[in-house]
Amino acid sequence: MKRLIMMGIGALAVLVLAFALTGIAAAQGDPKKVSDDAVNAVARKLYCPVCENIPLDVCGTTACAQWREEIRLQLAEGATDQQVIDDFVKRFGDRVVGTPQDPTLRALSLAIPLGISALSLIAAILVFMSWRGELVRGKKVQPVASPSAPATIDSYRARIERDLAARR
Amino acid sequence: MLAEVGFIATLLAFAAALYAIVTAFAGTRTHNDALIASARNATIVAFPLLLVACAMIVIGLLTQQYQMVYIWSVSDPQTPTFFRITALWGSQAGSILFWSFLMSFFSMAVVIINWRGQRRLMPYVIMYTMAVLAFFLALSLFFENPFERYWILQNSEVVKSVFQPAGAVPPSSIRLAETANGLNPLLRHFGMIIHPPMLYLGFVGFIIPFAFAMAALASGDLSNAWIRASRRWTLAAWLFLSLGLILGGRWAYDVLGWGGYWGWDPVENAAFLPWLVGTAFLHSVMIQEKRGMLKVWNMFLVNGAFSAVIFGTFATRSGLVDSVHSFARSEIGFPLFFFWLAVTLVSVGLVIWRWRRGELRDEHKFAGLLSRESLFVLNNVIFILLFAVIFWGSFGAPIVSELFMNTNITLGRDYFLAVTPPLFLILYILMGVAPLSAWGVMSLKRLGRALAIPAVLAVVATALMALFTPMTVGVALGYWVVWTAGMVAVYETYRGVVARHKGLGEGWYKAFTSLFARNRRRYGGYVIHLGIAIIGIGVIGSTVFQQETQQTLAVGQSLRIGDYQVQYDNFLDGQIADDGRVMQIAQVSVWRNGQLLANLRPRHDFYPNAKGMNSQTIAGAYSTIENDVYVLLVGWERIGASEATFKVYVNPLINLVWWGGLILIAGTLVATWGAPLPAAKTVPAEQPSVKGAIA
Repeated sequence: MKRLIMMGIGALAVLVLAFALTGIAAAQGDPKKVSDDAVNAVARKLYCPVCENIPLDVCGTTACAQWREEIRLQLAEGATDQQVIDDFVKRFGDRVVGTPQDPTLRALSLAIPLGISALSLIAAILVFMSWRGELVRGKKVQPVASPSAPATIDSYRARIERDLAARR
Repeated sequence: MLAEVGFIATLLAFAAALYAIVTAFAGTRTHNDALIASARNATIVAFPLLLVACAMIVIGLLTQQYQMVYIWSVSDPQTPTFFRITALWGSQAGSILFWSFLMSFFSMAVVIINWRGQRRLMPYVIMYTMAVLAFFLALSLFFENPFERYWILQNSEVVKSVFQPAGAVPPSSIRLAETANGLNPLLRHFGMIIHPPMLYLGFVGFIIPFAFAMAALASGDLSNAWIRASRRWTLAAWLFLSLGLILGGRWAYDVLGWGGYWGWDPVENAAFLPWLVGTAFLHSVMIQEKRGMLKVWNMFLVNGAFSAVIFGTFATRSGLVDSVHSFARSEIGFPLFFFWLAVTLVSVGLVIWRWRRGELRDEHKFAGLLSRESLFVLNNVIFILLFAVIFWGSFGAPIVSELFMNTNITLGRDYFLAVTPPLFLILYILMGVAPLSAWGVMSLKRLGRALAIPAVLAVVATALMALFTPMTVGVALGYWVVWTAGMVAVYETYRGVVARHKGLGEGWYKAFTSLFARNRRRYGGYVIHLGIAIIGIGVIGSTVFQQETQQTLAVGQSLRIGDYQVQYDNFLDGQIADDGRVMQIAQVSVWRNGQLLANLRPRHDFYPNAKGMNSQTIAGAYSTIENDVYVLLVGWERIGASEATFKVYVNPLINLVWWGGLILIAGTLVATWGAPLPAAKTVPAEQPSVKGAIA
């Protein structure tokens, strides 16, 4: 009886193991079923970790081809696009993505140009408003004498012509 | 012999530049015309000297003098004659010498053309142009000497030197030929003949407006003389830079094999930055000419454009940032950085000095918010904002993160496509509105009336596009804004022609040509705006509606993308070209609705002798005005190639980018050419006999 029980447990264990292995295999999926387009959709968001500013989807080196295959494997194992990207960032740093994944770096990257743009536009608006204020107040604008002012040049030329005529 | 002659010619050009600086300075201080004339002659003589220097390199390339280190590094016995010539600018040392040569040409041209008209400014112009030339020649002589040769010392050590060291012998010419590097494969493209020279001409061209501005600041002649003198030079520099950028885009599209023309690569951006500042200057300088305003701002812009040129050169050649263009890294980073710093500080210091002395005061105030000058100021703000965000993305963020945060980040396409489109959209709005506004005062009602017809025409054009390509409201809005800018240019030209036709009774053709002849700047500007609008339509189409797929096909199989079918027909394995490269060629056919459109041959080139980068992917493309079907050979089975992997793009309206570029160039030529040169400010001397007769 004991022997039968032991055999039953053994058979059960084999079955569980078989199911488990089948499940793992099913979960892993077939990398061949992940299309090139799906791989490129992720690779496009990454830069080659060793080349110079070349997106991973178009980089022609052998290393990049291997990294694309790695993306394919990870996708086949069920990883999402973001998980693949996070994995690459973890291994190679923020330089492999077009915008940093780290919240501080991302904020720094995007907030500074947006801040500069906003401040510049506000400054431009304020300057325009001050000009408008001057106009509304009817402030008379006095032209500043300058060598380039046409009237000044004309009067200067006229004076020279008069002087020359006087000398003749 | 070639090396000695080239080196001595360069050395003499360097001496001529230094001599010109000293004599121009002394002549100005002592009011000695003979010294100033001598400085002019020295400036002129630098050009033929550098022509000789460059000729020595080209002769060396053509006659395969591999003992010269530069020639060994950029060519090999298989390099075709055509690429031997373009190899002059194929790497660091040669391109710096070529840069100096072009700069000497500009310097010579400016002293010949502007000598009589701008006598007061010219000594200062000579000083500044020659100072820059001397710096670049110093780089050639002391850091990146293209005339160095290989020598073997008695202890078998190989050294590089222009002149033969005592007891040294040259290496075997056969061995040198066998080991020669060959040109970087990426540079073996038709665009290499013209893309780098155009870009360099654009870069060095900005030295002339910069020198005139500095001359005005240094001499105290702060009238508009410097603007009149430099206007055409600025347009010429802008034209070359525009051409360089467009050709660079085309080169990237053909050679880099990623289906696009602008990758927001730091070095691409480094060339774009001076273009942005230069374009801002071309607009704002009109306000100074017409209204005597923005004098300080214009000084900052013209100096900023040249400063951006030097910074771009530093970034490209120092390895400051990673880039696909960084084949030209070397030790010149520090000298270039300090030169850029000095140029920027001196120019800013001079502007501030004159400003504080009250010599750069505006002659008028702004008269209305919708006036043309106000809209031009807004246009300038947007250009400078574009400059700031692109500079930050390309250089600022990577440098700041590395210096202060101990990390290395890249801001790529995602960043640039997030921050730049709104700014470009505002620019297009201003491009449509500003030409309709008037100097001084403009009412909203008048402006609205002037804008109505072009805006309605733009609605019709956008609606027609939407009929063929479904689009979102945002994209339609973008198209409408860009179309409006283009329609304004076309409609304003049409109105001018009609006015002449009706008012003066001229025929249509005569009315059209007379209109342009009478105001080349204005109507040339409209043509440029039309070109930029067409580029905008192409950019939106090819960016928003680009389709892409990658599939592995067996011979006879096909893939579908959009309305097209691409079929893999055959594979030609291991084809050897005349220059020794090994080509793997796929033969594919493109079909639409069952009809054969084209047979393409995308290929992969392998350069067995090249060091480093030794292969490239050349696309096959079927081009129409509607779109490009762009096919890349990504991979193939090593034996038999019964299967091959293709990446296929459909790039809608991409050809409008190139056509718009051509129209832009045509418009710039119209605006630049033909107008009379500024009159010489001299009066003919009276003849004594005539004077006597009058008396």
